[in-house]
Amino acid sequence: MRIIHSADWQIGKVFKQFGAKEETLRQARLSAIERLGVHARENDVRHVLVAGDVYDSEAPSAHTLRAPIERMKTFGDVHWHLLPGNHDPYRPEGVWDRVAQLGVPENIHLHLSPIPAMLDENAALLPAPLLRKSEFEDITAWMGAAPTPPGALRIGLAHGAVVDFGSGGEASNPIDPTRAAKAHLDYLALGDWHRTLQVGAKTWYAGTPEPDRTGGQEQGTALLVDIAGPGAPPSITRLATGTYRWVTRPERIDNEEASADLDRRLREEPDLSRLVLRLKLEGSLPLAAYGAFRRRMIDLDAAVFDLDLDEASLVARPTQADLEAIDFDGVLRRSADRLKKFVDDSSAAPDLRRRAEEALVELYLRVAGAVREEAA
Amino acid sequence: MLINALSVEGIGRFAGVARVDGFGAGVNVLAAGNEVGKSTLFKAIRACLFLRHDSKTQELRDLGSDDSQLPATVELDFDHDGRRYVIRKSFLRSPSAVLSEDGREIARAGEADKAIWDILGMAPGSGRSIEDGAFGLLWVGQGASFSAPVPGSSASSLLNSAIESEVGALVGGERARLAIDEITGEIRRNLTDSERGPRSDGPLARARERLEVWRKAEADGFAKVGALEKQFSELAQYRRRHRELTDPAAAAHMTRELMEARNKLREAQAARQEIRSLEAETSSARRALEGAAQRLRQLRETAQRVDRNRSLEADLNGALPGLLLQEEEARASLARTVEASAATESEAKELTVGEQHLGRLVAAAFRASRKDELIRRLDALERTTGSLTTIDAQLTQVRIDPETVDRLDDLDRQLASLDAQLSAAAATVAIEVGPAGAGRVRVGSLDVDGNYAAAVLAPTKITIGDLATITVTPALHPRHEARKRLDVERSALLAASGVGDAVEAHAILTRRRDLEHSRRGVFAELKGLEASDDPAKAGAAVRSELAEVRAAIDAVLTATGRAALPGQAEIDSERLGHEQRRVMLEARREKLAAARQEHQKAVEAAVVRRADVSTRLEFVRKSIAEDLVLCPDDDRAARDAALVAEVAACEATQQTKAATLVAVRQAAPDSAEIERRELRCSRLERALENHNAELMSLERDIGRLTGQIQAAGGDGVGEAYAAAQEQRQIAERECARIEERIATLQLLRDTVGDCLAEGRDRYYEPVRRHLRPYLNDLFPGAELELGDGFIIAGMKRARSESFKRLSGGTQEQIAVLVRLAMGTLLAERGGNVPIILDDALVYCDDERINMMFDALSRAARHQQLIVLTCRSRSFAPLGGNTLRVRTSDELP
Repeated sequence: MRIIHSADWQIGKVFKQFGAKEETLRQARLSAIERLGVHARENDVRHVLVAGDVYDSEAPSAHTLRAPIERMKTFGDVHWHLLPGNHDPYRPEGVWDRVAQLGVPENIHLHLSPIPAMLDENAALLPAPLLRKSEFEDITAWMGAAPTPPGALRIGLAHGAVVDFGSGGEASNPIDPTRAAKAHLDYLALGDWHRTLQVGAKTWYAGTPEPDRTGGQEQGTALLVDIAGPGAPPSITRLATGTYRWVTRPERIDNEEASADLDRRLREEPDLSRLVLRLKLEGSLPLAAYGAFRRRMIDLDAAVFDLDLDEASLVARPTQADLEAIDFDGVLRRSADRLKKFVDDSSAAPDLRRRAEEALVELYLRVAGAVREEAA
Repeated sequence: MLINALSVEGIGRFAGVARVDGFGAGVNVLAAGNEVGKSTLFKAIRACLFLRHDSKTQELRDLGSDDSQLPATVELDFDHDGRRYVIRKSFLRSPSAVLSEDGREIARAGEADKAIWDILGMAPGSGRSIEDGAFGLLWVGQGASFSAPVPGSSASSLLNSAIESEVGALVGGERARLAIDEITGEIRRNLTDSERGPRSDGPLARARERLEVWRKAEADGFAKVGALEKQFSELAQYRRRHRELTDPAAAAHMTRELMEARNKLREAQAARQEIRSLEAETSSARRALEGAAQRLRQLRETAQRVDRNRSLEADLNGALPGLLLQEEEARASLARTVEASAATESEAKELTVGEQHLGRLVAAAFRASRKDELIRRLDALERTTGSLTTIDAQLTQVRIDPETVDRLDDLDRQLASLDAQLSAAAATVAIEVGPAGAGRVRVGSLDVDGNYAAAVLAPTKITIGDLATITVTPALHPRHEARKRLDVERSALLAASGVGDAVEAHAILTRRRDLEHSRRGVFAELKGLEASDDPAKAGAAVRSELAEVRAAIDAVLTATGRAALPGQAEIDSERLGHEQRRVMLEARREKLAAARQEHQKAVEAAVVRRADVSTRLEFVRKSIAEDLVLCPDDDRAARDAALVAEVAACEATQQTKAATLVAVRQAAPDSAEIERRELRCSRLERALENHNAELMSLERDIGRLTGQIQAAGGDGVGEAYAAAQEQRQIAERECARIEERIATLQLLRDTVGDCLAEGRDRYYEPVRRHLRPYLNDLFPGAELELGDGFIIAGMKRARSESFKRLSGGTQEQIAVLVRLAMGTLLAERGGNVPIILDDALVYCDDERINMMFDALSRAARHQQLIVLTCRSRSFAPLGGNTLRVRTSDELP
């Protein structure tokens, strides 16, 4: 038996912080479905299991509602098994009833109740749909007593957080990590965790096919699952499905060389134009280097799909040369000295120190930076 | 620079040559009255030094004399940097310029213009550069002393040069100001000028507006999502309840329970109906039994009554004859008594007639006594009536009345009075008749004998026989007319009264009064007869009454058959006889009435007894006949037997029904049970109705919620809410970013500004140091606060005061002191420029002006000071060189 395990499509998710690029990211999530279809055909897979959160909202717009259905329709030879998750729980007249009212084709299966469904004569799917956003009981508990034909594979499909799995899950919705063993499952396909993760020998989180946040998985993936037969351990192959890579880089730069090196390394990243990059910077830079770093970042922002700079831990440390670049003496130099003294005052409030630092950089850029740029 | 002399020609009021001399180092005072031309001379110096000789400016045209045909010429003699210069310029007409140095001409025309500027260190140009430079700072024209000095760029450069030579340059000051201006500009794009709020069209205001818009959108989305969530929750509850309500097992159970309850209720109701039916039948059977028994009792009672009545009938038949006999006897006794009573009554009637006759006779006798009185009364009436008629006839003949008599008396009195008056006034006729004339002389109708004397009141004829007739006519007098009128009136009154004179009138009046007295006596008599009103009528009435009396007596006599009325004794005798007879008859009548009453009662009692027996006999016979109809003697036994049998049958039926009723009652549910079953049925029916109503309500609610949820879903509220949340976060970050940027810029600007101010304080210290002695002359301990460009911002004494808030006089004094200090500063650094004050210190009081003189004297130690004033006496204490203006007439 060969299936593709996917989850957390979250179609309709908004990306307003990306401004005009938002629609591109929304389309990328739909493209991931097509990529799943292609993978299915290429790997001779008839069933794609989606372990919850197909939609990002219980009340998506009519266009958002139809968009994934239309993508799946184009792969009529592939059976798509959709499961309500905590973002789109099944509730009467909710998003799934709206989908049903659209008139879904035969290759799209909505598993809206915990009832076993036969994938074929040798495999049974045990879906555990969420009927509300937050369940306090393990919704997979019923799987242990669920009857399936003798000799048939038992494949569980659920959305939730594995108990004691940590704080990464989005909702309580606890799932016993030993559910696969307890319910004699040959594979338990889970969703909710936006990162591909193996929980047990037969229990996996597929991750999202298109990342939607930094700090999660960088590349959108799905799992190609091969199960030789009842009781056999599944064979897992990761499939790339995402368009954009969401990368978070913690970096430390303390001088011009480090700044230049960072710039060089980042530019060596593949597919820069599809990189959603978040830089968490720390360190301290001379003002001159800081000015140069800013210019590099402006250039890099134009090179990548999106650049998010977190400079909270990056400090501008003016050197003697920086201060002399402002002036050797006189009003502006005294102003710079005063601001520097404020920045260096550890007893001052961090916000005010940060503001003084910004003011110092501003002074530098206005007085010395402009001169240097002109000179350059 | 030290000015030595000034000459002008064709300048202002100086059409001819005028020279000012007496200049020296230190203080120079030109004190002259108004319109002497002090300010003109001041302008002439400025023009000579700073204007091109061929200039045609309005300033120059104003400077030229109106009536001068000569060019406007100014010649200035001055020392500078150890050399003596004389510059002479002619303007407007035949312009020229000549500059000599130490007595040697060194330049002419335009070269001379430029040369003098070079010597004085001024940039070539117009008057504007003069104002910008030290001369503009230190040469204070008329009215300009009130303004605080604001050094132009050139003057500032000079001052800066002077300061920097002492304290060094203020490094970066200009860059700092530029940076502050730029930063302030960026801040002002976001904030208002006061920086208290965002500028309405600035980025911060727009960002905040966007944030507000998205906050509202987020709140709206949140509300919608919340509402949707609530709707989902409600819908789930409704659907769960709907499932419960539509559960077939529950519905069947409810229906079955209701059917069972209804069946049990119907059974109970049927049992109750059967009991009621049985109760009715039992009651009917009981009534039938009672009817049969009743009829049996009645039959037997009828038979007994027939037997009893037959016995009674026999008794009554036996008693009836005796009763009839008693009745006849009683009736006979009664008839006898009636006859005796009738005889007594007849006798009583006769007695009554006799009594009546006697009564009429008594009345007639009484009326007969009245007849005599009537006759006397009639006689008196006829006599008095006759007297009255006679008196009235006599009175009608008397026409005079008392008023007429009184009037006649009055007229006589008036006539006598008039006659007396006329006599007194009239002539008197006196005749003495001689014997021969005796009898022949007549006065009027009066024969005169002897002596005659009379007043002539009217024409009087005196006839003397036939000898003569003499008429004596008195003269007319008004009293004659009056007398005549009175006489006429009197005659008319006498004629009307039918008398000849007043005496007769009085006699007639006396008679009239006698007749009236008699008449009143007759009336008094008639009044006594009660006939004063109408004696004739009273007489007629008496005569009528008299006739009636007579007729009545005649009628009584006729009725009683008597010839004459009896006397009183006869009447009394007859009356006594009648009374005795009446007593006897009354006694007999009472006795007969008692007997008659007794007999009547006996008859009535006999009749009652006989009638009672007859009635009872008739009733008994009727009763027997009726009872025999109901119970014939020959059918009595058969009927009795049949009724006895019927009673027995009814009794049996009634007992059967009662037993059945008891049995059914014991088996049927009691009323409490029936009521319980009814309540149960009602409850279950109501529960079913509620169930159906709730189901309908639920379906309506489900339909409504479904519509709402579908509508919300179609609107994509979840997606819209998420978008609004992110937009709000972005807007918040943008606001925070701008605000932080503004705060950073403000910090930077304030820091640079503070540093600039500190540097400026140090930089301006030389100015303040030079100013301090001057200030101390007037304001001990005071410090001036200088702003950018050497502007006087304020003065600090006990506290800081804004320059603009100081009095006008103090402002002028400070302004002059600042110029003096700046002049000193420049002079010490080689920029020795004379200070010229034209009509300054106008508002100084006596104390202050002396202090200002001290300050001026202090300044004059470093440079030449020229004071132009119109207040000679006030400025006398200033001392110094006295300048004089000498015109061509005064010049040698």
